[in-house]
Amino acid sequence: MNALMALITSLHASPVDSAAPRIEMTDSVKASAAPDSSLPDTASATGDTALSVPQRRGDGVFVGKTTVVKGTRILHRQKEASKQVISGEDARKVVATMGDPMRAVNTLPGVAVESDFSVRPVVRGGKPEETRVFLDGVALLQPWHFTASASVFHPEATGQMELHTGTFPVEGAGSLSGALYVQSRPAPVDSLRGVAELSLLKGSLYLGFPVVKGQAGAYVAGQTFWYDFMFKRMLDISTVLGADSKEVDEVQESVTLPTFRDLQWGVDARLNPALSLHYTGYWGRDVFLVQQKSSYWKTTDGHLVSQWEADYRDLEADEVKLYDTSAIVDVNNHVHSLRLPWEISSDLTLVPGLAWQRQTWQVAFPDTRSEERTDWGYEYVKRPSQDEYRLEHQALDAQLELQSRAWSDHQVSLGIGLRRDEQSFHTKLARPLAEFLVKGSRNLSDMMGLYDPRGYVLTSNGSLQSSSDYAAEDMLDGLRYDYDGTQERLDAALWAGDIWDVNRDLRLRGGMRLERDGGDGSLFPSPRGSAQWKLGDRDELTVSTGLYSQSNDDFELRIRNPDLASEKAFHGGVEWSHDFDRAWRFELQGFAKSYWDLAAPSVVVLPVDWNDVRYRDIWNSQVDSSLLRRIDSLRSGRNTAGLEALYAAMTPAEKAQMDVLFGNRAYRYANTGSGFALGTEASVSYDPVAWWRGWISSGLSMSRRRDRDGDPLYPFAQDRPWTFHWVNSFRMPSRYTLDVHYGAWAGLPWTWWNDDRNCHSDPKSGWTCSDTVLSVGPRNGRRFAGYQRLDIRISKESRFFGFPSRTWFEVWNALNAPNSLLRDSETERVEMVDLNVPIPIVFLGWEVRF
Amino acid sequence: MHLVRIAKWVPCLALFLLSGCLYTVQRFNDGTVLPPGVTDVSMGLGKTPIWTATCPDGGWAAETGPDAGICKRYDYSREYDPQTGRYVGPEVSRSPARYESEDIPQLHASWRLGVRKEWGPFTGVELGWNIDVPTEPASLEFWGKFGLPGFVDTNTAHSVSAGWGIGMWADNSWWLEYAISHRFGSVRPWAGSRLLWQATRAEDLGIEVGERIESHKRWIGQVFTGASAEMPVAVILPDWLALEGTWTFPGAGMGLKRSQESSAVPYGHVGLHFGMGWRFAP
Repeated sequence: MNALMALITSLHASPVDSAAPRIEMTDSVKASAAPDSSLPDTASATGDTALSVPQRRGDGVFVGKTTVVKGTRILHRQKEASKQVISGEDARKVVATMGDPMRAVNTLPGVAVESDFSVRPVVRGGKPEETRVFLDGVALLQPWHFTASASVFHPEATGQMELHTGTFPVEGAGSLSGALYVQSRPAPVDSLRGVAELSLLKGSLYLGFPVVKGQAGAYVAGQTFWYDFMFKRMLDISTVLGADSKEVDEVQESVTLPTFRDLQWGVDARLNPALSLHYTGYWGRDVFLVQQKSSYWKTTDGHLVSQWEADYRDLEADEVKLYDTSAIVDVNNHVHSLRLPWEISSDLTLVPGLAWQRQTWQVAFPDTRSEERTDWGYEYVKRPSQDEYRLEHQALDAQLELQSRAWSDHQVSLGIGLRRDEQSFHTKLARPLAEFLVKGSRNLSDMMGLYDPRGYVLTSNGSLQSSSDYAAEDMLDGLRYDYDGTQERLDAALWAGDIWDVNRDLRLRGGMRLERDGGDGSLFPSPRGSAQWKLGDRDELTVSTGLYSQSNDDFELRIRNPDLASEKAFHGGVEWSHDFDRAWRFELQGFAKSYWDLAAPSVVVLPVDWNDVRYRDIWNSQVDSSLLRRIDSLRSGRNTAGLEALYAAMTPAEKAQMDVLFGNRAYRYANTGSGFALGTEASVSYDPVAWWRGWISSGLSMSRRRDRDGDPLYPFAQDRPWTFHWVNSFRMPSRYTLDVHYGAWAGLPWTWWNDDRNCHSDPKSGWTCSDTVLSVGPRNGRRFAGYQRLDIRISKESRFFGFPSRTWFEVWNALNAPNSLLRDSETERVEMVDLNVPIPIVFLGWEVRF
Repeated sequence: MHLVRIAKWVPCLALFLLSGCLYTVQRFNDGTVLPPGVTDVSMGLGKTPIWTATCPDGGWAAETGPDAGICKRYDYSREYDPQTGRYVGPEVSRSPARYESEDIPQLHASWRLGVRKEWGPFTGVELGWNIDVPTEPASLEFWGKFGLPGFVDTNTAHSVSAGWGIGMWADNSWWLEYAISHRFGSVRPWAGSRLLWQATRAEDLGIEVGERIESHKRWIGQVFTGASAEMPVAVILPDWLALEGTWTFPGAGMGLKRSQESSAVPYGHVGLHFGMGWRFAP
């Protein structure tokens, strides 16, 4: 919360008192092209101090200009439209971030998350994938760890973070909803800097040091989560208190909870007075393992059988306990980024950049052993992995930008960027699992609504019959994410931008980005612009607009439709800020977005693969029952050749029926989706007394989508109509600080469905069931009850062997709101569970700096 | 036996560490407000009962409903009833359940910080938190304490506190507390009372898919009295020791549902505690 206050007071422009000294901005001031760690990332000044401010772009590059600010406040017009900035230092002060800077970003106005578990920002009613994340100007392939429960950013190695919710920088690759620019923190060039942080969840280290004093520095930063270690130590303690040590040992050996390890390093150097170098490297790894221990009886000739089988056949066998791997995840992520800003003259800077990224996913869910009939008899057979997700994804970026200040009132940039993207994949997953793994989504009900957004009912008297329950899980399991192949693309972009100070009270920003979509080869012009008026000393008005496209979709989309075009969005926004006095500031923003060419999925039936027929006990009254019995017989005998021969001899109509009954289903994509989002955000920041400061933020919004013309609009899956944040920071005596954050927001929409066949016992005929097999309501037609959460932190600053240190005690969800139990907003009945903080969690931490 | 009892709570402690559903009883609130910057860390030890309902004559005691606390025996020899689909036979006897309790150790910890001297009508302001464990399984409270004016005699102090205790999903506990004390040399006796809007306890929740999370709050009163003695300044040793008694009415208890409390603890519950604290200057 301190972060937000600092953000607001330092960058959102502080109150301007008419009696206060006027702020002057001089544009022809000495250039500085190299990083200088002694200067702050964000500028602030008190009194009549003259301050040198390093001007950086979103990617962290020093754009070679120093602005002299005189007076007590920051110039209003330095705040771009729809841009919010938070420094790494301030991000660390936000409560309940678990040391993850991204969680601080997610407290900004206009940003929401799907759940406490996820760190992926949902910006102004857009999909999480529509917000791209840049590290030092490079659009990252994967800025999240496995399941998006943590970002890859190290709290100490992270510098400034800029979130653009409306008008996006012209040099950044296309985004539809948001662009987050994260700068790595420049390495110190004049002194040693180290930070060690320890908490119950993770530990991190940072060490920065000068290589050539005053000219070059380097840093190394690492962090690892160790709640797996902590969890197992808690289990050890429980054995002391009476828990079964055997069971505890079993759990400890079977499970490795998701563990993340990050290593980041960098070099910043001034090679000569005109040329500097910035290099950032990152390597991260996620590991997750679940094993299942089972008992078998091993015969003398090595066969594994059940105890019953051993007894029945009178086999000589001994009991053995074996571990089978139920789930194994190994994800590696590499990023290397190099930039060489070259100050050709005081008015001209050339910034070449090169980056290479690679990520590999090895996710498998090996089946456990199953008892099967072999030539030897019934025995347990271990089958190779059936479900897996393997991906190798790499991208090479090259970028060249020319920045000019040859004209006193203009800052012009011209650039070209190329990205070579290669993917190799082999996936075999049930769709819901893929959604969770790849996108971090857990709302299965949204997928249920995909079949027909109006809702639908399946009955046993209709075209589908079921001798057992044709349940929702059967439908979703039949929906597959099975792909095997490679994909390559070359994206290119040209851009030009200008910041024009028309006069003291008006600044215009304009840019044009021409993007070549590597997917379908199309060209798309992406213009954008904003105007900022200073309306007196207390008010400022900004209007902005832009046309954007994005096409870095999951590989699946172009496999299903190679001609898929990029998705498009038009943004319009207006912002008004007013300073009541020196301590209170009000901001009001409005936005509207229109989407088109969205890649909308529809469900298609795939031709049946008799080698991989999934058991689906569905019967169709229109299909000859003798044919079904014959198929069933062949399936029981694992006679694939017979099944294929039978299928080949069928009529097209019969084949279609077989595909429906036994084939899998998959998504097909087309650019038929459209929608809109609109809303308003209001915030009040205050700093009235030395010991209290904070801010209140709220938002009202609406986000709707339509998959096809003629379909009804439905609420977007991450649509939250209202949000509210109240942040307070109290400076207390004896170097204590009390930070309090209260957040409340509307629940997410969901699709009602019911696969309860409403069976009841009949004394005469036994069980009878209604003919309704599955009912599904309008897509996202219901909404979960609102969410609220109170987080508290008490921190204490002290010294540790002379070094500044800080200890803190946090309680998350201090009101114990049942956010993990998703209740319908109307009936208040518990319908689902989600990965929100389920109970109050105590979080202890300690850090020391030197 | 105590270890076994405690061990039973280990899984709860691990899963619902602070989802407290029961009130705290260890106060050590002498009505004084710490000067700004002064911190006080205290620990306490007392006993708390765990209750079990048994049916000495056999049968089964309902935990809720009008027959809560009544042991009922049934004749299960009846044939299958197609109307209910059950084999439940007629009730053959009923007798009151017997409630037995066993005391287990209960720990307390608190942290207080004086944050303001005079503030508005108050003579001082203090913030703090305290925790009692086990209380099903632990109860954490946050509060602010406000010194009250009115006594010229500086040896007498009184204050009012307000705070909340973390509840269990349905709601939270909210309370108002008054305490007064007078200093006699190094000894300070005190007395006080708390009015508590008690949160719904986990025992009274029936959380299932398709069900609502119902709130079952109620008013509870507490009266406490005790005395503390200042100790000579010495490294490590506590700065004060205290003995306190707290009467809670109507009482509740671990292991009891709300419907069983009137039978098990009809006169509330009295707890005795020993405490000690360390005080740190700014």
